[in-house]
Amino acid sequence: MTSAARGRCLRALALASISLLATSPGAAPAEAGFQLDLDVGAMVHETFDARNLRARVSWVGREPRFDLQADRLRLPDPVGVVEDLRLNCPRVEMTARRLACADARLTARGAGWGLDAAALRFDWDREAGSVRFSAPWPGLFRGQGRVSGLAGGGGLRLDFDVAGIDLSLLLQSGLVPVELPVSVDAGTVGVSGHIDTRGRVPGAQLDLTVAALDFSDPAGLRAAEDLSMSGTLVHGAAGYEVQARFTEGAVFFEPWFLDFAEVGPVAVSLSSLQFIPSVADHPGWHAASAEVTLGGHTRVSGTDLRYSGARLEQGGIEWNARRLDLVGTWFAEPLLAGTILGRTRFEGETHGWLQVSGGWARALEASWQGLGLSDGLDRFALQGSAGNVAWSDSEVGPESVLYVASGEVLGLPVGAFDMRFQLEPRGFRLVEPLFVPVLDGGPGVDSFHLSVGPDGPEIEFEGGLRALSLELLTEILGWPRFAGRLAGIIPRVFYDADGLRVDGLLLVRVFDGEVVLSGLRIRNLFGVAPELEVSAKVRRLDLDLLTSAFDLGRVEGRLSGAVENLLLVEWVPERMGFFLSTPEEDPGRRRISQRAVENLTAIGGGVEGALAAAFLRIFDDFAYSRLGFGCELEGEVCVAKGVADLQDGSFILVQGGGLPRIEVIGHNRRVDWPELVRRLNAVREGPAPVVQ
Amino acid sequence: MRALRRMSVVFLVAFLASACVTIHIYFPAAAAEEAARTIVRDVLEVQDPPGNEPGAAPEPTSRGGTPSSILPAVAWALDRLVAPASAQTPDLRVESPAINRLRASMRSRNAELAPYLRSGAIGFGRDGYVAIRDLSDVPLRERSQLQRLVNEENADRRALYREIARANDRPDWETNIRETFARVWVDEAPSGYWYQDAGGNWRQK
Repeated sequence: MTSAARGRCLRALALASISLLATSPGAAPAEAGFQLDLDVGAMVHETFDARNLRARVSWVGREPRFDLQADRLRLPDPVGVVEDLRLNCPRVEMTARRLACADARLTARGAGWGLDAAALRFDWDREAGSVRFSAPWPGLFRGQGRVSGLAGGGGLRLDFDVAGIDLSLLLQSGLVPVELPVSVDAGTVGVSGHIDTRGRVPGAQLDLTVAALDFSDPAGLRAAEDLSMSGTLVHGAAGYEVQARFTEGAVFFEPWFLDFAEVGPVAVSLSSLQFIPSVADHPGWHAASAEVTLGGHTRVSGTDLRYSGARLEQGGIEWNARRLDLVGTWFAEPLLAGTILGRTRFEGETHGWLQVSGGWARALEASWQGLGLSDGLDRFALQGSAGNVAWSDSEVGPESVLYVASGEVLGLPVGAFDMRFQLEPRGFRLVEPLFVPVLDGGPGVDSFHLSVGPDGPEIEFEGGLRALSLELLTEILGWPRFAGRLAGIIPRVFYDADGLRVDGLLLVRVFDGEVVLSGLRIRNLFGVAPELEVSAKVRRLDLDLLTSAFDLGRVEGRLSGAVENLLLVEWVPERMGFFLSTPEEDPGRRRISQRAVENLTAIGGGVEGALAAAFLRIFDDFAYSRLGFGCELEGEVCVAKGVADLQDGSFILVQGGGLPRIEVIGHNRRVDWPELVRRLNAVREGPAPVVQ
Repeated sequence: MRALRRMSVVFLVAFLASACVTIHIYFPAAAAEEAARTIVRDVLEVQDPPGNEPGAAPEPTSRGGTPSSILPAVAWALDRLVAPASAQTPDLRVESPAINRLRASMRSRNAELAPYLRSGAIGFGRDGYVAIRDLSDVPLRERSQLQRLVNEENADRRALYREIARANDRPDWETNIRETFARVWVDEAPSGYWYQDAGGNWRQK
């Protein structure tokens, strides 16, 4: 229907219900004049519906007066129903074409708002079919300013410049046609600009300034205090253009808290924003472009973004973050709380892009420089990392590289290394062998391929452990320091919910003998209680080297045995069973020094210097036939055993051989393990006993 | 008539035989509850009431057994047919290095969480975790820290339930253990703490 047709429709309805009364002069006896009353029962138009509309034009003296009343007027949203409307104009300028009033007063009442004799100026051009009006802001919602407009031509243009509107009152009025998920407790808004509904596409340009805004949702998960922002909102044929800049105050949007005084200004812009039908009650939108900048150092932008069903359906996202330390603290740390990365500190910078289509990531490229992170709990850290990564869901990506200048894992220093790899749509492949320097050796991976198929992840692995110095390792781990090398071949590595399992044997060459590690399993490596399980076969350790390393007093001979099911929790033995003794084959020269005997006595809780008073003090060392010690450790209790048991329940630790014959006998089978370790350390750190 | 009697005997034997194999211990609910109570009291630093020491004989749970109150004769027969060993209460292991460290971690966090549990900002959820209830009265700056505490607490609780199941070589018990703990957290919560009832509604003890 054309506007002309609508107008005809309006007139037809109006005429059908108008009763015209003409009152002769004399209604106001004091002055000459006349009065014309129009009583319209109903006036209906597609944009309004007026009931009991009454108009009066009266001439008193030379100045005509115009009064208009309506019991009820329905206007388009957001104004809605207006009741008790009264427009009074004491002086009407009236010509054949125009009806104007410079000092009208408007009284009306709507849902949550009311006007009481608000000043109004209007000019009705009957020929053009338009009304111009202007008025000071009538104090609604405590605002101040001015409003003007032009109604006609099938629409309305409204210009306004109003400041200090109480947002809380405004939202309570129901005039804002948006249901907010938060309640506003305080805050003012200033708005200037215009709204124009006359064209084919309604247009609007609003400049907004919000100050001292406090809002919160019922649970306090989305809240702001003292928030200040400014922005513009422009609506045109392509949708909304939105720009907003947050400068003061603080917000909490679970789980993030931002204090803009600390973060710096945050700017948000959206271009050609259009709302699309919601999916499963989740509102949807599309934007040709979007950008968020944070404090001048971080920028995230997007193009052709489509958000629907509570997820990003499509779009390209680019980021450039030059202060990962700040971004990490503000955004990553709250998000990762409760995970092994929950207290991680970041540094460095990164940029890259991500392509999303059909609600899934399709391609990604990222690069980073100067990247550093530390978990805050001394479990792992890396510094000076640089690299780039490329991934696509449709083809094998180009070569990616990760370079690390240095790092630390559970106290062990990690040297510089670079890893060259390719990301597959659902997999990862090492392009060239990787070696991670740890101390003077370290783990190496010759080949690695991970692919995730319908039956779960599959791993192809080939690698080993290049010999590393036990002297450095033991020093860093705080263990008794001793020399040796740790090396091995790792044919397979498994990772599942129960942790990391290494299939293969690790060979430790130490004290001129060998320790072969097997059944290595690591759980909760970076968790609350990292666990390492391993078993070991010990072959022919040279006791001379071993006792020298531990400074226990010289013992000559060899030591063999096994350690079963050793469980280290945070590198402290929690459970194990071991027995180490003189090998039966080729035991070699077997001598134990007086000092070693003294130390063994001290470790076992015997009387120090027990030998000093005896005649045996004249010997530096003694021959022995065999020695050995075993322990079944569970918690803090070690059930000890020696090379032979005696009838009284005691056990022989060192069985003498030849003359003078000396034997070391243990009487306490249940040993307090921490106390044993403490005594061992005391012996190592204490002065050497004096042998007279 | 003879056929009927024979059928009755066959039926009775078949019934008893089938009843015998229906008693299985699937989850040591009483032992788990007792263990949970010990851990929860330790974490919340609740004093054991006198005479309520742990160690009371827990009861096995059964599935498919016939209630003895309905058929006392059958129960009497079952009592004698079921081997004593299979009706013994299974033990539940709640000691392991990981469990001990998780307990210590939770205990050390308890002092930080307690004021918020008392104020109702957070509460014990019906799922065995801590849940955000109403942060409105928490200063804005503290909310993120509280959220972090809750996430860390829940990560510890998740790990605790998993570790207890693992310590008993029954990973499939994890859900039962979590449900048991969910009840006990509420039972042992000090007066004034907030919790979710079975319907998910928040209540204050």
